[in-house]
Amino acid sequence: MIRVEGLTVSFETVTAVEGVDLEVGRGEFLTIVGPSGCGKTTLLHAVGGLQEPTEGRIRIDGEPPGRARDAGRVGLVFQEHTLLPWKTALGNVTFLRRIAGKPPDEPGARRLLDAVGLSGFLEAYPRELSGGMAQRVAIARALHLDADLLLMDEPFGALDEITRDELGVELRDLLRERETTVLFVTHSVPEAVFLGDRCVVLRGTPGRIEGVFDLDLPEPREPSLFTDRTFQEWVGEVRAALYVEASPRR
Amino acid sequence: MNAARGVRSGDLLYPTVALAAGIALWWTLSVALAIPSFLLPSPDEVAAQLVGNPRLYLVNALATVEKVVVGGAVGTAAGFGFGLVVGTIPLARRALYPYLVTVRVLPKIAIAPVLLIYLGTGFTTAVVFVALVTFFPLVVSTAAGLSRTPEPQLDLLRSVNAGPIDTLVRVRLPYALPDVFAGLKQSVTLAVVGAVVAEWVVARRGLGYLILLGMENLRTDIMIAALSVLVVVGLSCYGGVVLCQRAIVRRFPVTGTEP
Ligand SMILES: Nc1ncnc2c1ncn2[C@@H]1O[C@H](COP(=O)(O)OP(=O)(O)OP(=O)(O)O)[C@@H](O)[C@H]1O
Ligand SMILES: [Mg+2]
Repeated sequence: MIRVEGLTVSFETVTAVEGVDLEVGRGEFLTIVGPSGCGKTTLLHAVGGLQEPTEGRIRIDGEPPGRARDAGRVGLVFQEHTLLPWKTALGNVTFLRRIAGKPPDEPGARRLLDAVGLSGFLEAYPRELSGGMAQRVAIARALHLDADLLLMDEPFGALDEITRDELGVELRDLLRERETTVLFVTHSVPEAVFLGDRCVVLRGTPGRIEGVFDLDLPEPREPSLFTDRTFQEWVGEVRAALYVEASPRR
Repeated sequence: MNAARGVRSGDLLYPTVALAAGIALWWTLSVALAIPSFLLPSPDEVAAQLVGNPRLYLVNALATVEKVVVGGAVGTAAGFGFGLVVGTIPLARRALYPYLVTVRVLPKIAIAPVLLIYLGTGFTTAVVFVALVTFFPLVVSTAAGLSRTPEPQLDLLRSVNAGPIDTLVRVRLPYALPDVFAGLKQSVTLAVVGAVVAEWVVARRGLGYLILLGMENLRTDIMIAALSVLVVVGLSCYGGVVLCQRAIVRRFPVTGTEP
């Protein structure tokens, strides 16, 4: 569904990513790990049509990302929840869909908030929600767009470990039936392994792909996996790719 | 005032006591030292002046309020509109913002004589002058407020291809409200100053004119009475803006904003 070919993005003074080739299948959950400043956000923005490539090209179902964006196919979730402080949880979820020019579907929004465990907080304002709850609203908001491409930039980065594990499990459950393609950026290797169908390691300045890992772990992913041997091994391998001296490029 | 609004009873009590003490001191001094009332009238003389001529003070207070309201409305509306342009059109911002900041160091009062030449000595001159002093704070604060929207929020809006009007009206403006109100509060204070200055220069009515009249006739009681009415006028105008802000902040509670 997504094809990234030789992507390079440069800003005035720095090159953020260089020579990135990547293919992502429909409904795939792809996680991206890498140290700070290796261009993860930049890569995500390029795929979402928010950042023009300097070199190379990106195709989503054969079309440039701008087309997918204009068609309302792209949902974004950031580290900060970016909820509007003057709108309720429900208001925030329906607002973005309306702005995107899609027909209103309030029952759908209610169902989604219910699915992320917030049925009792429809009328709550962001300041009344915990960080984890606010992030759930942000996820519901992105899903309510009926986007088939979800770009998540460290969505659980500001949350405590218990909440992020919990949310990760829920997110995966929610997405399993939806055929949503997900690009999920994280700093946490265990999270990347737990959630990903595949995991990409990005590193260096400018950022390049250091390795791609096919995570053949049992489905559905459940918290018991955290103690699983294979899981641990994958975490080890991904860590190795992140931390070893730069290996010769293939 | 109640605790729910974050105002403790002492917040009102102590200043009231301080005011009473101040007036008592003033009274005692003027009686004990037998200060002649053309130098410093006693509080009761000022009060008598006020109570004895209610129409005089009311009419002149209204004349001042009229200039504040009309001039302030024109000036802040224009300032807000201009701020929108500067805040939303990058080219306009880059070209004009340096001047807007520079103009701040110019005392607007110095413009009054210039206006006199172009517009004569009438009501219009006073209104234009008030409008002028209230204009700049609103331009700067509106333009600054429009840049308050968090960058990720704008990315999100771009990712769903949001239209510029939606983005401006539904997101950027609400985020700008705290700044806009900060500008309005500055403007309303300046508007009262502006109205009084204008009355010194051009008017035949208003509290500023009354103060001037009191001075020319060595009537300190009239001057102090007019000044106290001016304080009430100033506070009411400021209070009006604060009430307005409270109502709107309740509807658009942008975090980090206290009324
Ligand atoms: N709009 C921009 N203008 C100039 N430089 C930028 C811009 N965005 C990113 N960069 C630079 O590109 C590089 C990669 O940034 P990017 O935000 O993509 O990294 P990241 O992997 O997301 O980092 P983090 O994990 O800290 O979020 C950095 O050196 C950054 O300074
Ligand atoms: Mg980033």
